Amino acid sequence: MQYVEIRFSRTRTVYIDGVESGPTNTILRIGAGTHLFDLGWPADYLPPEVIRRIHGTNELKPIIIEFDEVPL
Amino acid sequence: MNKKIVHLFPVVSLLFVLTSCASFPPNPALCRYDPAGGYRFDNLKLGADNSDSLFVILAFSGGGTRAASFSYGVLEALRDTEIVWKGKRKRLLDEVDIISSVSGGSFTAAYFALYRDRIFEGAFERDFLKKDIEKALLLRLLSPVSWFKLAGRSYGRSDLAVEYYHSHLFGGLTFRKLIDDGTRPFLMINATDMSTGGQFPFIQDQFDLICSDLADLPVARGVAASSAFPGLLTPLTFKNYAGGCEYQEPRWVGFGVNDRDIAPERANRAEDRRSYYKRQEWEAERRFIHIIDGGVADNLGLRSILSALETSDPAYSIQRRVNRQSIEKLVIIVVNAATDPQSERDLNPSVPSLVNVLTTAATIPLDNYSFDTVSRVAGVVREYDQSVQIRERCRKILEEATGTGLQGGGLYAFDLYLTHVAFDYISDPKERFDFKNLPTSFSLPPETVDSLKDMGRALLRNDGEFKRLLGELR
Repeated sequence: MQYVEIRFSRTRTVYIDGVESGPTNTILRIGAGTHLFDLGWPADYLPPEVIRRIHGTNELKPIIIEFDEVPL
Repeated sequence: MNKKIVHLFPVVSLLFVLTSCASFPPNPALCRYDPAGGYRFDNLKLGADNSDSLFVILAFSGGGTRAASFSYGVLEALRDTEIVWKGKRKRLLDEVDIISSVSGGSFTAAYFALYRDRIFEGAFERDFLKKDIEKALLLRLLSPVSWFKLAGRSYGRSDLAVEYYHSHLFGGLTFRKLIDDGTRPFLMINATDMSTGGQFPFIQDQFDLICSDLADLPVARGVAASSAFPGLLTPLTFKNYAGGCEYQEPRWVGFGVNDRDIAPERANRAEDRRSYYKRQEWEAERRFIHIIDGGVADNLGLRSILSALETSDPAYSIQRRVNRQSIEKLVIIVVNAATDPQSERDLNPSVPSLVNVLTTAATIPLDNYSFDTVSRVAGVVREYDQSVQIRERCRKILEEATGTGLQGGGLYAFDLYLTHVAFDYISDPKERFDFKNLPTSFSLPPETVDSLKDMGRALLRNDGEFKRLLGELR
């Protein structure tokens, strides 16, 4: 099992590989492999999506992915 | 006499012509891929007494009538177990969300999914558990009409079994009944794809890959495929309509095929999926899919659950539900009717027969794989538990040492209970020996069926994890 944390200025739903998968700013469990992350709609954030190979993490060292809020 | 034969000749010829071309009944084509329709976990609603927060998964193993009876006893125990969850009194059975089954266990699972509490009203025991199914199938096989049908190259003994189960056990029902019912539990009847060696579950997410509509497929066909024990029964054939329904593969598959270096199992799953609809020019076409007993790929029905726990890839991913923080208690009950029959081969120096050697070679790897599967699920459950504990311990240590805790967000904590109901846990050695030497067949004496039901109930109630769960649900 792998661990990621998707950071954003507020709580939003994280989409992993296009599927609703949990909230921002918490550690999410995930299977090893390449995954696509985004925050769905509205697209008031950058980058629009992040593709990252997830492996070698643990519960103390999750991969951190950050999205910045931008005005629409 | 000769005159009679002359008169019969046209009739027999006509019968031969009509039936010797018998072929497998084609699975329906899917006109258009529709992820919002069909028999999928996400399309099922919660029942009146079901909640997402208490999430219960049952896995029923293979093992003929032995497995069907054993799992039936567990269903009875769940029916009779009253709990209190979120202030509401209910039966634990009403909280079951997923039933994943293989071979013999698929009969009980499918019957329960179709008929719910009516499974306890006697017809299932009379028409399956306590019926000599082998004899019924043999009689069908001996019928001249069947010989003509079996002369068709794409019609096998399992197709005869499908006809019998369809009319005599499952009331002619198709998967549409499960779609129309529209509530959990989600039934996953598992069979094995002969070519990939992977699991072939009878759910729409799998049938999408071959552009086939599961809705109008008889449930009996899924159960017969799941229990098509190699040798005794024949594989069942399904037409592959891939390319005809505008199927869109999930995003993870495209990533997964390139993940072999960091996630080999994911790569295998992705390649297995693509084998149905995305052929490389040097690969053989898969116009038809041949399906055999689910026990060949996994005799516990637990591998699909394992992948749903470990990854967010399957449509029915449990990990994703955990991330969404909708599950507060996750209960996994594995009903394993595996045996360990005593052999007399070690009594003398004779070289074991070819049949003995082949049977051993075929069954021992499966048994070892089942053991490994249970261990892996236990490992994942442990990791879910320990990851939260480790973070909590580190947070405390850091706070004490530096005055600041761990950076970042928290890890969602929930309770897990893994119960393994198996003959291995029978405390009396002689009784354990007797159960572990029961045959795998579709014909057991009624008193043996009753013993298996009783043992299923007793082992569940005496399981330490199950007791821990009940202690927290009163």
